[in-house]
Amino acid sequence: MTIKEVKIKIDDKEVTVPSNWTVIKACHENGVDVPHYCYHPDLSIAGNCRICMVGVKGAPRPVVACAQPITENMEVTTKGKDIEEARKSVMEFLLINHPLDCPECDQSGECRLQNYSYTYGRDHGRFHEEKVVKSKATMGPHVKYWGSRCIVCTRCVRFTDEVSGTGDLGVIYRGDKSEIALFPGKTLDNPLSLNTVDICPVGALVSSDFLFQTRVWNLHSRPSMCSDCAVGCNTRVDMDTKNAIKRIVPRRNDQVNKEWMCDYGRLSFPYVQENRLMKPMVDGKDAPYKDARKAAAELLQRKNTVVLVSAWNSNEAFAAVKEFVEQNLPGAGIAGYANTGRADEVFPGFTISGDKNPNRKGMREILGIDADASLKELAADKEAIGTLLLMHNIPGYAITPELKAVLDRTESVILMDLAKTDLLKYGNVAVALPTLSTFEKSGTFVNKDGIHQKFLPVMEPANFGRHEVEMMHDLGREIKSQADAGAAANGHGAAGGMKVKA
Amino acid sequence: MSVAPARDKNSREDLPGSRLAWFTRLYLPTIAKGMLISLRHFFRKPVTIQYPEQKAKISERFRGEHRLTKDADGNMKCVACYMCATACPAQCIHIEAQAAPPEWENRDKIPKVFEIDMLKCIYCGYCVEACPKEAIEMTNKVPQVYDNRQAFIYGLNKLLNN
Repeated sequence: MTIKEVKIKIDDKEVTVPSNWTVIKACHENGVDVPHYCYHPDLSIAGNCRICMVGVKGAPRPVVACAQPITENMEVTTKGKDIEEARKSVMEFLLINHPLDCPECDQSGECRLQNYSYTYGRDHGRFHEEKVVKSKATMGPHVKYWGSRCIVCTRCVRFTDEVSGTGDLGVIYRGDKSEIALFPGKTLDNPLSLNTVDICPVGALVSSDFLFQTRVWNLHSRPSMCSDCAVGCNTRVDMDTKNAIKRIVPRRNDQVNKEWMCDYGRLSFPYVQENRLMKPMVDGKDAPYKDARKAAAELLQRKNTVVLVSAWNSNEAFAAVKEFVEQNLPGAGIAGYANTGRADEVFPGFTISGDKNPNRKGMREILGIDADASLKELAADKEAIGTLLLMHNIPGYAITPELKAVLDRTESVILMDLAKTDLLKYGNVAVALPTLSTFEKSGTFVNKDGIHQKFLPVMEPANFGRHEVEMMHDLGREIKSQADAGAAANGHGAAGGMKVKA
Repeated sequence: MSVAPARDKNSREDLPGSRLAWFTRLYLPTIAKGMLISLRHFFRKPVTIQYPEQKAKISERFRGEHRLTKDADGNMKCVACYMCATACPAQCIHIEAQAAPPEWENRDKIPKVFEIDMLKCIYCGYCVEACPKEAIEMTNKVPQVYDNRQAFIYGLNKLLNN
């Protein structure tokens, strides 16, 4: 079948849409809201919730918009008495066995049953018989199931079939007793399991990590970007009134992550509050930034200086490093390194990158350095390093043998890092400068497909950290002023041929 | 066109009744009248009460200190839904939730922390109206007075037994 553009009318407004779309997609793409539970743009059509009823001219009764293909000259009405009546009846049916335990339910506040009940439902219940009570279950390490709240829209079932491909979930029993259950011997423990919680339109599947933490209306959200791997999923960060991150959920970006995100990324945020490097340190003692900056500038002007940047830094930081070295330390080398990766985790509808660095591509673009090869080269080099400016910023990093080899023959290290990690204890850290996490600063990352993505701060910094760009500029100014004062050391040694590669 | 001259603010010349009659200016009749009223009240029943010893009679509908109610099993009714905290205009209610013990079969969630800052509370009763479980009510206990701020923050135990 060839796809052509056809003209249809939605609520007397003429629009042109591709002929392979469904009515609900045509409505949504043209800004007409049609309520839906079971329909999801990235999943197959189930057509079982029946709330998306619309009128089609010529049809004897309302049709479900999610399963109705577009035809030429179709006239769709999304408003009107019979449609309201149909939606009202559907809402009444869905709420017949619903426990109405909104006070205890985590979904309350962002629940489609609540929202559509206000918009389309009736103002009182007419059902006085005993409600069917269904089971509660723990589906996996991150997901819990409240059967009675479930409307059996099968979004989660289709997700495990089509996107994660694990096929963990299915529907058991029939009619009003039907509920979602795990297949025997299976658990919902794949690294995409929390997506089922997101797509659940009611409070049936809830995250056990977020369970009872807060109510959703106490949260405020900011758009952000996940820095856990090279995919760069677009996210929404939800924070409570004390500005503590409570959860991270995906934000739709069809080029990058559709509407999915992995559990690693969602649960990657605790490092923001944990064990942070709070203040600048000189020789293991807290010092004012002014003193740390001065000490760092003095150290940098010694012989054999190398700037080592990790692939967790933004394009802006790389550019600042490049500019800093070109202007202030013409002899110094720039090298890069990356967080240790693992194999890609490939699912039918989503790939979790094994490259646990958000900006490996950006490093290649700005500095022309391949992170792994660069560290190997530096590690193989036998010449002693005078001062190593280490721009780290990787949370949960285990020191690799290569980095260890570099640190072992370094006289003094200037560390820019988020937390008090092993790196701070290891090696000769003369100056430590606290930095900001990706939730606290702005910048640009280039993902594995070469897409440049900007991220903005979502919260106030937890420490007295500074942006790398600011610190590089400050160090540059400090070196200049020291040179002007005649206090600068004479000349900078070349560091074993580690030049800036074009 | 003639314009009336602006009135001097300090002058009382043109105010009605600013010139009192000599008899009134004596003030004696007025004082006598006042004294008479005071004298009459000596022979009436006093409206004041001797507060710490005597307690005022308080209406059944008086909005006093809060109480968290219990169900037939003696468990607290509160399910930590945060409705009271959300409705509270003084933002004096602080709740932290936790999972209910498994033997409490009729609920999933109970409060771990439930604090009302009685210094912030304006006793409006919105929390009682907002509660979907009738778990909070207002007693007719008159707000108490303490000598330190911490004592004004009522915790879960205090509220359950209030």
